[in-house]
Amino acid sequence: MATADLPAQEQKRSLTWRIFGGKADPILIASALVLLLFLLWALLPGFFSTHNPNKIGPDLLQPPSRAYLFGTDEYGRDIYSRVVHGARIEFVISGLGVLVAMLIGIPVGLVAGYRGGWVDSVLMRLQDALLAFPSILFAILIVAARGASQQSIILTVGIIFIPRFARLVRASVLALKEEDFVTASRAMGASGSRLLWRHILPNAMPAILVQITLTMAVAVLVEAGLSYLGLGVQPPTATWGTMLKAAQSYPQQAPWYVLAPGICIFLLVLSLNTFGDGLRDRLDPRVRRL
Amino acid sequence: MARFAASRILQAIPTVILVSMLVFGLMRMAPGDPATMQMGTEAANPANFAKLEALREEMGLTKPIPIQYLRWIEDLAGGDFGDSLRNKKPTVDLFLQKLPATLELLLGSMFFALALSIPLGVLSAVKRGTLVDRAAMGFVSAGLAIPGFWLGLTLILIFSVRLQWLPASGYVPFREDPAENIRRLILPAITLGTYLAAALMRFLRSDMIQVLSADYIRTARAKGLREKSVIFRHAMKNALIPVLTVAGLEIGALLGGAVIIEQVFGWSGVGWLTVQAIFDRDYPLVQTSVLFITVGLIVVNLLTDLAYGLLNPRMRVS
Repeated sequence: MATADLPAQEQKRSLTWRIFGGKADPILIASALVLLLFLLWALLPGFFSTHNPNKIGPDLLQPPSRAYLFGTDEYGRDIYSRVVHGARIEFVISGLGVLVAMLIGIPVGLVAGYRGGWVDSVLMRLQDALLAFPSILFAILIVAARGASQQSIILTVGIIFIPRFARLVRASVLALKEEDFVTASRAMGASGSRLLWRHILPNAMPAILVQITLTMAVAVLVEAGLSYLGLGVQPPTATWGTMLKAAQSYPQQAPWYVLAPGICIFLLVLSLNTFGDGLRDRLDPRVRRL
Repeated sequence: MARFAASRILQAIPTVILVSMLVFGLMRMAPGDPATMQMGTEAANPANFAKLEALREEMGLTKPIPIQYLRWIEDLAGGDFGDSLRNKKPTVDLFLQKLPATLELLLGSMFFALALSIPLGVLSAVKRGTLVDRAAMGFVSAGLAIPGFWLGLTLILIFSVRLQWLPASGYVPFREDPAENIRRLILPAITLGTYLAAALMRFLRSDMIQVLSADYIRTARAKGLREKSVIFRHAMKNALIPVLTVAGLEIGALLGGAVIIEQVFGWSGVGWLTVQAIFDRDYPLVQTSVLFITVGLIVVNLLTDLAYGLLNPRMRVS
């Protein structure tokens, strides 16, 4: 995990250079482009969509055509426009969920790794307990307690992924705690929190960055699964998971209905995964995959 | 080994306690306390207010939360997991009744995942860098990204709606009709097993590549052993142990997936039961089934860990 003994030039370079500079990696660029497209959908849905996503029309369950790129749904709404508008919710839920997980997980990992002893044991047993839940089941508990809503999913994702960051950061702290540069700065009288925030955390940053993209991918899948079960974002808001839930009822009349939302989830998760893997290869050469 | 086993078991105990606290705490946040739930619609009638209060007192709901938690644990220890609000039966019975279907689904998916990933994972490691390897890696990336329920819907569309080869949904107990039971298992097992197959294949491939570069493999080759024997008798033996461990630890992910896949295929297992219970606001049932599944998983993970320790002596030290 540690980047401490990378060649000096590698260390001096900015994070951006280490991700995109040097020899181009076609897979990394392709996945970044797909992500960019979805991000544009999320930011400017009005610009990309051709219809009002919630406007009910007379053409029910029409196959794809020039007027309706991906066909229409059971209320005559344009599937393409609904897919475009669904992108924002995917980013909001997975992004905010992962943010919550980081805001709790990183400090927990720092404290557990640095303090050690019983503090470490207690915090890590808590992580084990969270890891013991399959994410969908934990989501079901949260939904039972708070009702199905966007906030419930964000909370679920936020809590369930705390261990991913806590364990990662804790491992980095344990690896770096005994490094010479940390000892040196402690010898110069640096306080514990300064050591953690200024010296140890920046060195764990690349690994955290990789974890963010990979966790967002899982978060998208959790959101889609919950919405499919009807425990997620409630209709009429267009999300890819709720669209699939609706599409399920029309396998005969509208087999194309399940395609667009499903492929979007697939592509978003795939590009987040490959982007994360590509990042790891670039930022952490020592754990490069075979 | 005894020390290793003892330390692992000791580690699992606080996890189980914390899990039970989380389940209890979250269910207490659900709208309406157990007394209100037991009285049903009558609880809303102001005339019954005194009766409700009396029931609360009787059920111990006026006591502090930690005491309530301990009493709950006491009930669990005595085998009392509470009754379902919907049909008044003990929640344990309902859960155990649906368990075989889920276990069968898990077994089927695990079988599919291993049957696919072991040959393909080994093949892509041996033929590293070739077209075969790339195709297998393509499957891995796709398998890890595809939402299970969407794969299920697509398979239904192809094999049930279009080709009409396999039934789209429903579970038939094995005792009633073994052939039909297996026929209905095929699509859900493939759907649920795909993610695991991809994960195991990726793991086995890198594991196998590492093993193949080990000294003892070079020795085996230098001895003049045939490549087949090197791969199957020497390399695979070592590469498979961690893969089986990963398979054991992934049962949790599989169970999480099963909750959704059971819904897709109308497979009436415990996941289906839990989701129905949420819609019925049958909180005692939700509580029991989440608790059972999670604690069950902790036990499975523990057993996997112990099995790994048994197979790989180096594990016991760390």
